[in-house]
Order: sequence, then C-alpha cells, then structure tokens
Amino acid sequence: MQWTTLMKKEMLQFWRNKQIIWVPLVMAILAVMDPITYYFLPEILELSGGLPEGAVFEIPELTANDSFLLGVESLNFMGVMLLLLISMGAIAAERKSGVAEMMYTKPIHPFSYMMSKWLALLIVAAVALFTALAFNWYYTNVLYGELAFFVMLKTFGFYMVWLMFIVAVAIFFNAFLSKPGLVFASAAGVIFVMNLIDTFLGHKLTYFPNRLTSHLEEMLYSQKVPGELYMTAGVILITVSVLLGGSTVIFKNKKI
Amino acid sequence: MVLKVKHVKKRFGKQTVLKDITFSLEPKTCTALIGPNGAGKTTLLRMLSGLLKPTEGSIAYETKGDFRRIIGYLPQYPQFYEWMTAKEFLTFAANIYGLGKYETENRVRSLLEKTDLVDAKHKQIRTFSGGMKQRLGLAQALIHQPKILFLDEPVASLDPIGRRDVLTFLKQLKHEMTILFSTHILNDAEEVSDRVIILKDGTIVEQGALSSLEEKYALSKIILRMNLDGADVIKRMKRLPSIQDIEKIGDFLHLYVTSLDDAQKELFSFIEGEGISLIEYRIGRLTMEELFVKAVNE
Repeated sequence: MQWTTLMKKEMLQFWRNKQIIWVPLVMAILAVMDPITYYFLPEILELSGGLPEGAVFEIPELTANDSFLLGVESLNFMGVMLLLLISMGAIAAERKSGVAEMMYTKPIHPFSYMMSKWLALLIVAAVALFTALAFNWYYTNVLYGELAFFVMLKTFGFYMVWLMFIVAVAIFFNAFLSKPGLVFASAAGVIFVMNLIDTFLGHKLTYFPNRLTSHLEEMLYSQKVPGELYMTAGVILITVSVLLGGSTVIFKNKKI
Repeated sequence: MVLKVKHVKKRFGKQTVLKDITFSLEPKTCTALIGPNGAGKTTLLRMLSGLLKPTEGSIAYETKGDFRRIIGYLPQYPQFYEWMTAKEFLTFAANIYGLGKYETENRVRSLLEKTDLVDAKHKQIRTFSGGMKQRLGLAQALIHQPKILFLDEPVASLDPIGRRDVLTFLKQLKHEMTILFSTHILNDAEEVSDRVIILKDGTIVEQGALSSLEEKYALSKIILRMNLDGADVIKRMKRLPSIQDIEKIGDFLHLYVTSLDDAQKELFSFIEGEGISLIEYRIGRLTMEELFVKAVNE
C-alpha cells in the first residue's frame, strides 16, 4: 500500500532527525516549568534577597487542578509554536529543496500525501503532548496533591483535537507555499488572529475552536465533561476535514 | 506513437514560455531536445511529466491508466531526502509504484549495479557527490521500467568521466525505451540521439532525424589548407556559385557548399586558375553545432 509507504517514510524521518525525541522533551519541560516554579516561589524569593521588611506577599495556595492547568496553559503558546516549527516544512521544504520535482512526477495520490504528512506530525504531537501531560500530572501529584490519572487522559484526548487543528492549518499553507518560513508566519498569524477573536468575542462564540481550553478548564473543576467541550471539538474536527480537503485540491493543482 | 503533443502553449502570467509546440515520439527512439538557455526546455519537460499544466493544447500518452506509471523523470538538479540511504530511496520509490517485495529487491539491486552505486548503497545521500546523485536520479527514474524516460540536462553538471558513464548508459537504454532528453551540449545529442527537436524562444524551429537535418541544412563541408589563403583569395573564392560560406579556422578553410560535386569542380578549376597548391583536402561533415547555429539563426 502506498499509504503505508508514505507513513513509514515520514516516521523514519522523524526518527532520523530525532524530532520524535526532542520535541516531547521540550514540551515536557514547558509543561512542568510553571507548576514547579510556583511551588518553589517562596524559596526563590528568599534566595534573591527576600522581600523588603514589612512587605506582605501572599502566595495563594494552588490546588492540584490549578497546577495541572498551569502546565496545560503554558503549552498554549510555546507548545503550539513548537508544533508549527516542525510542521512548516512538511511540503514547502520539499519544494524549496527540489525533492518535490522528483517526487511529484510519481503516481502519488494527493490525498494520501496530505494525510501522511498530517498524521505523521500528529503522531509526533501526540507523543510530545502525552509526555508533557504525564510529567505535569506526576509533578502535580507529588507537589500539590492527588489528581486522577483519568483526568489527565481526558485532557490529553481533547487537547489533541486542538493540535489536530494546528497541524491542519500548517498543512493547509504547505499545500501552496514553497517557503517554510512563510508557512510558519501564515499559520502563526491565523492562530494569533483567532486568539484575538477569542479574547474579544469568545464569550459570544461558545463553540469557537480557541474556546476549547476554557472548556477544558471547566472540565477540570466540575469533574465532568461539559457539552460545550464536545461541541467545540466537533466544530474543530469539521474545520480540520475542510482544511485537509482544501489542501488536497490545492496541492493537486500546484505541485512545484 | 507513445506520446503526442499537440499545439501546447505555456504562459506564466504575461510571459509566454512555449508557443504552439507540436511533436510526437515513436517507440524506442532517442530524441534530443536542444536549444539555447531560456528556450523553454525545462518547462516543456515539466509539462510532459505532469508537474505543470499546459495553458493550451494537449499531451496524450499511449496508456489507458495513469500516465505517470509509464514515465520516468530526472530533473536537472536531482534532490533527494538527504537522510535516506541510496538503497532506502530506491526501495521507497519502488513502493510508491506499488512494486511487489520480490520485484522491488531485484530492481533495486540491479539498478544499484548498473549505476555503480553498490558500494554507496548504505550511505546517506547527503554524503553523495554530484555525479552520484545524478546516477541515483537515473536509477529512481528507471525503477518501474517506464516506457518513456524524460531527462533534463542529464550530463550538464558532470565531470568528463561521469558524462561518459551516463552517455554509455543512455545508449544501452535507448534499445529498451523511448528517451527524450534536453541538453545544450550538442556533441552529446549527436552521440546518443536519433532525432532532434530544436527549440528557440518557445518554438520548435526544427525537428527530425539527424541525417535528414544534415541534408536539409547543407550542406556539406570541405576543409582544406592551401599555400595561399589571403583575404583577397577567399573573397574571390566566395564568388563561386556552389559555395555558400567560408570560415577560416586556424590554417584551415571551412567551405560550406550546397552541392558537393559542383563545388569540387568549381573549386579545382579555381585553384588551378589562381595557381594555388593544395596542402590538405578533405570532405567533412557538418557538426551538430554548425547545424544548430544554422537552424536557430534562420
């Protein structure tokens, strides 16, 4: 099957360039940095000379949920940027280097090609996200008290939907651009604008993709999965299909 | 006819790169696509291999299925996934075409041998020299035993030894498949091809079998050396009716003549009349380069 051939090749590449190792590592560091820093904040303040006499600085106690959420939120920006960095060349770099010219004269089905690129990146993203959340969950348990493992798994599942969207946006720009840097800028730009929309109009757009993290927050505190979370995930999945379908059509007509 | 190209045009924005290209390729022939830089050779090959779509006109292959299965293509500067080894890349290419496991192994092995890459098969492509990449590019284009092979400047970037290897390989291949290759090195075209298509400014200025072109453009050539070859002598010689042009190259005079028989008669009586003695005399063949310059300038 051509499909498995393409997938195997993508995975071999992530293994050879070691992205499958360092991306999860960086993600894990990002996810645990905030909870750990917060825990040791009093000591850190002490070491840096302490507070002036008489000053009162109350550090609110974090619950396990708060700590876990802190870690998840730190992935929202840096984690997404990291993912865009490894996605920006998926096809654009092949055009830039010239491999495209050789590959695209072969009978490759455009949809298989798009899917192999998207899915391979998602596998890397999944490994990275799982590692990050597992570390985050572990430190939360050690430092702030118990958090159910299942909660971590649910968070993983829903956050993956968000990452599917991020990678699909990157693949979409890859379908027609031939400069990885431009792909990065365009995808980051789209996500930035979406964040702006979320900030100003989010309260009105319940199922807007960026709402996913707010709904996740709700899930953590209410101990059950809110309906809005399912709906938002559904909206994202539909958007992802449209993006991948669109990428396929565009790619079919713009090979090099 | 394995390929028919009819009235193909290609425009990029306002710029017309190819104007009304029509030709066809017969099975198991080797055709050289020659033309100066910027004539549109690469664009034409990219359209034939499906990378670009023609703005107008049609390209028809003799196949019922996907034409990409019967063509092999080698770009001018072949690039690979540099992190793969030569063997991995060829296996990957074979799998793309859906070759079976046994066939894949056989094809990969035999092509590594034919392109002299056996020793390098487990090395990552990033360590390859230009010549090795060119040979690997040829191997990947042949992996599925295509009916038609398109090569864009296959020897331009190679050293003399690499060039010789590739040309020898092409000579063997032309008995098995149809080959269309672009080049601006005319000797290469002359060496391996049976037919030529001469492209200039996006138009085919001439096409046909090499021998028929030679006939058409003249012209035969007489090369001679004489004891007297001053400008005045040459000037008078030029007035002879069968002589079209005279070029002085070193000590030799190259005479382009329309009819060899007439020219020789006229020439000998002229030499006798002028009291010139001949030092050397031979009848030459028009080189590809001369043919090309004539076709392009006309």
